[in-house]
Amino acid sequence: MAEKVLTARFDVTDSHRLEGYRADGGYKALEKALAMKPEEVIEEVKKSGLRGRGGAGFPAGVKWSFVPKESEKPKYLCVNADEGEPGTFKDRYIMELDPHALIEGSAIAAYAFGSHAAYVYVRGEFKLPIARLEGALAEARKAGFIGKNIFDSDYDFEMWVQPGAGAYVCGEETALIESNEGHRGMPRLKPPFPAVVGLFGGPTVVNNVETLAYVPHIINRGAEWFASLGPEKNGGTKLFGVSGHVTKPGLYELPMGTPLREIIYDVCGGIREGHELKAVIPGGSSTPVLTPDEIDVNMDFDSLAKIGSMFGSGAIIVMDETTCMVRVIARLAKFYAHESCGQCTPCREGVPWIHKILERIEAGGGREGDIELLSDICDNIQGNTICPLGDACAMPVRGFIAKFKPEFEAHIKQGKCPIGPIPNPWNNH
Amino acid sequence: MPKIIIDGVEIEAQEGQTILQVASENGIDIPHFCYHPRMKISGNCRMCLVEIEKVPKLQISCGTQVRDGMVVSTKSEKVVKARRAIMEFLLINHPLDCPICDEAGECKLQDYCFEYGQAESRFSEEKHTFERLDVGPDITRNMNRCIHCTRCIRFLRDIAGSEEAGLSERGGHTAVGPYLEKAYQSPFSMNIVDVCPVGALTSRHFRFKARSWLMQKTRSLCAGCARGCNAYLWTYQGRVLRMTPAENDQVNLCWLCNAGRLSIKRIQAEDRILDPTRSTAINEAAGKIKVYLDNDQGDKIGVLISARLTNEDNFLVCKLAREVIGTNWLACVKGESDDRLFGPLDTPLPEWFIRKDTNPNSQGASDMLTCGDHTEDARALINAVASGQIRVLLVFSEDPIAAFADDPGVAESLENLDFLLVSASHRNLTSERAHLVVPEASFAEKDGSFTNEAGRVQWLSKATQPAGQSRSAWQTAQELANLLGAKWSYASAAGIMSEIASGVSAYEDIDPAAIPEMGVMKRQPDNQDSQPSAEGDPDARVDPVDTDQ
Repeated sequence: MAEKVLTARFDVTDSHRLEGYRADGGYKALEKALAMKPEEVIEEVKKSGLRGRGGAGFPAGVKWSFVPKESEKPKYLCVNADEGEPGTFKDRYIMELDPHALIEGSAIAAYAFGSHAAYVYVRGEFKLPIARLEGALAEARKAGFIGKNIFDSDYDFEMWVQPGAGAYVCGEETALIESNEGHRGMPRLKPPFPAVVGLFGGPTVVNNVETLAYVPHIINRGAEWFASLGPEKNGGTKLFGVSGHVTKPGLYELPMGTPLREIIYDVCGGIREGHELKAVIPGGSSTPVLTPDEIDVNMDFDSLAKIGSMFGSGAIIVMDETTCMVRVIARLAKFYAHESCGQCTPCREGVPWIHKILERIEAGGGREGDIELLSDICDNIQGNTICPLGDACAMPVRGFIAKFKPEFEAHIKQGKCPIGPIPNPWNNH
Repeated sequence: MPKIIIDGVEIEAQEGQTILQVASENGIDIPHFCYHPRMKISGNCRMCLVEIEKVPKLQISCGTQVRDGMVVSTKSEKVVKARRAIMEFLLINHPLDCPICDEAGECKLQDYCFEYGQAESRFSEEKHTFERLDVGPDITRNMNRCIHCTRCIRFLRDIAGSEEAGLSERGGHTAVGPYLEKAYQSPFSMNIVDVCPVGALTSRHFRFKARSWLMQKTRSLCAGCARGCNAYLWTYQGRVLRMTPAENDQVNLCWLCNAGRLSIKRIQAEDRILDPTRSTAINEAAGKIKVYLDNDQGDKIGVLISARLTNEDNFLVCKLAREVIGTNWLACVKGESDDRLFGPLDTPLPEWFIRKDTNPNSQGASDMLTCGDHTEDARALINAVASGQIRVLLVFSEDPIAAFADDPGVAESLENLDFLLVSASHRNLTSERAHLVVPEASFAEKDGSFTNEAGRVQWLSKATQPAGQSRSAWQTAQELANLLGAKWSYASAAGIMSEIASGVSAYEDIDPAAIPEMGVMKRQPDNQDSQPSAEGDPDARVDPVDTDQ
């Protein structure tokens, strides 16, 4: 199996404690980075090909370089630990099992673009990750890895944990900033972009937990090493959270670009016995669904974009033939309708409308023209909203219709769900 | 300066302007709901999306600043489709209850629906609905009609300076309303009824009274305090049903306080005086006065003018006292003095927006008084009544008993008068003791000018016919004067203004035929010429744009 980077310490006893982290070489990268010029740190991360692991895949080093050097207001780093994308479960394990990697990565990132303060915006339900992170911060503060004059470098850095209150949209960077400031979590208009006007009006970088956790490794082992782990422009490894109808669901660290087929059949032991693959959502619920004949795709940002889907957060949801595609997308649409912040018209009105139509089709009330209507509503939402939440609903709806249109038509024609009600798992015994 | 092309027309724009601003200045209409020229941009309605060359997504024109060389289309196929889509989205959960909605006729949603909407709805699901909530005694909220433009939130937070409204719930269930209290506390809260582009917020005082297109709209003034806010008076079948703000950057921007709006309720209140005590009242009054004049005892007659009257009313009453009666007993009760700033007006609206002086024309009354012989102090005049020096008192629109409520002797001394004439619009403590009462027109029923606290002379326009037999105080003064032998023939307030302009020095520069909508500053005393006016530098303001929603 390939090299482990982020998960290498996950099996160590008390992996979340500073003692063990130090013994494994922890905070050496911070010391090394503080001896470098900030621009050199950015350059190193740029060269590594590290792309944002939250879903959009924007090159991390480039993002840092957008922050203006001179600023009247303090600059901030916001760590996006909201992890709301359905199917995703990776950042929580980093915070639970190796929180110091996140702290060290954050300190290096903040140093690189001239910030002295970071907030970790953590999903409120993550009780253990929050506790572990708070504990790790206390340890690091005591040991002098955060605070004033770190490693006698004249560099000060402080970091706080800010629990969220449970809204998917707060994973969107400007909504996260609003929420972090204590306001209702709603995306802001862009421009201005956070790199110019962000948290408390200061230039701000928002990075995903996983992205930052890679940074110490890049500093320690070099950009070339990291880039060589994955294909071109998609450096490093990736945490894949595989769920659904595979025999071994779970969190796996694999090189970027690992073929999806290999992940499903080799890593995760294939589809549960007696069943066959029907559909895969490759990168979290907002990425367009794939059919079995598309799973030879390599799991990286560019390869998935090429076939009209998205790499997203690396949350792979596998479904076998017992799954009704209409019911799946109806359930996802329900999620998006519930999570729309309600601010802008197309998302607030359009997404619940999509949900209602899908529920009606699933319940047997589908009508001719519904499929075209759904596509048109998606068309009217996409690109017309303040933030990508509307798109995040429209894209998978379009995807499911495109890939499984006959199943939608069967629902409408038969006036019922051809697959029938969800089987009660307790009846099997 | 950036040059941009909108719909094929090259336009020179100002640096920092948005596409929507440039378009509207050049007569290109871009539909919008959430954008309001006086408010911060929120960009949530998405109605104003336009296509910009080389930009892949449509952009909101309200929030996108112009750049040199920008090529914008407000009518491209993509834009038209998006606009239709937004209209459809806004209407799917809307109750479409225009026939019973107060906003009908002045509703942006209704207007744009005609222009950009579709005749038939593709929505066949159940609409989501909300409970109705009265947000206080003045405003009703109907969330079903709300389009979530957040103008009310932004008005209260950014302009009224009152952080009391916000969004609750999420998605389609998002509601707009007060955070904690059931009622908005801001004294400016009713402006949200005006800024609401739909019928989600309606006035509880105006609801169901009249359809907007059946009413007459007169640009006039609020008479509630010394600020002199510009206002529209809306009348239907002779009744003033509502007051809404009119734009004046120097006075009230485009806002009114709640108290001012509700002052129209007084116009036809139960205590309104509609008829004189007797039909012969004026003749009787003239007869009483004549007796004194015949005995050369004009100085036993006192006259009170009022800071509630127009300049024209006061001018003619003063003229009556000075030239016809020949008395120096001429005074005006002063309003409460206010040492707080008057301007420049900024947002959030300062606490000093509403003036302590509740009279609309204290400045003007003082100007009419001080341009000739007069008594320095109304108190001195009352004392002269008590001592018997004054035997006949003519009171115009004033209530000395209430004004000097701290002195119970005032009421008693009025009892000693030989004759007390009161001209008033509403019954008051003094009118109850008068020998004769003549009815006076209210501020909504007459023309004339008020001079506000900053010295701005503004025109009051008659919105409706005077109730009953009431009339302007100048008309009563003219009739009295003519009965006493004068030969006055003033036909209108404007005519009197001409005489004021030629007779009162501070008003010399004013062209009575052309007082602009924004009013005109009276001339300041010479020693203050170099001082900036109390309103601040008028050039420092943004030009008004259509703020009628």
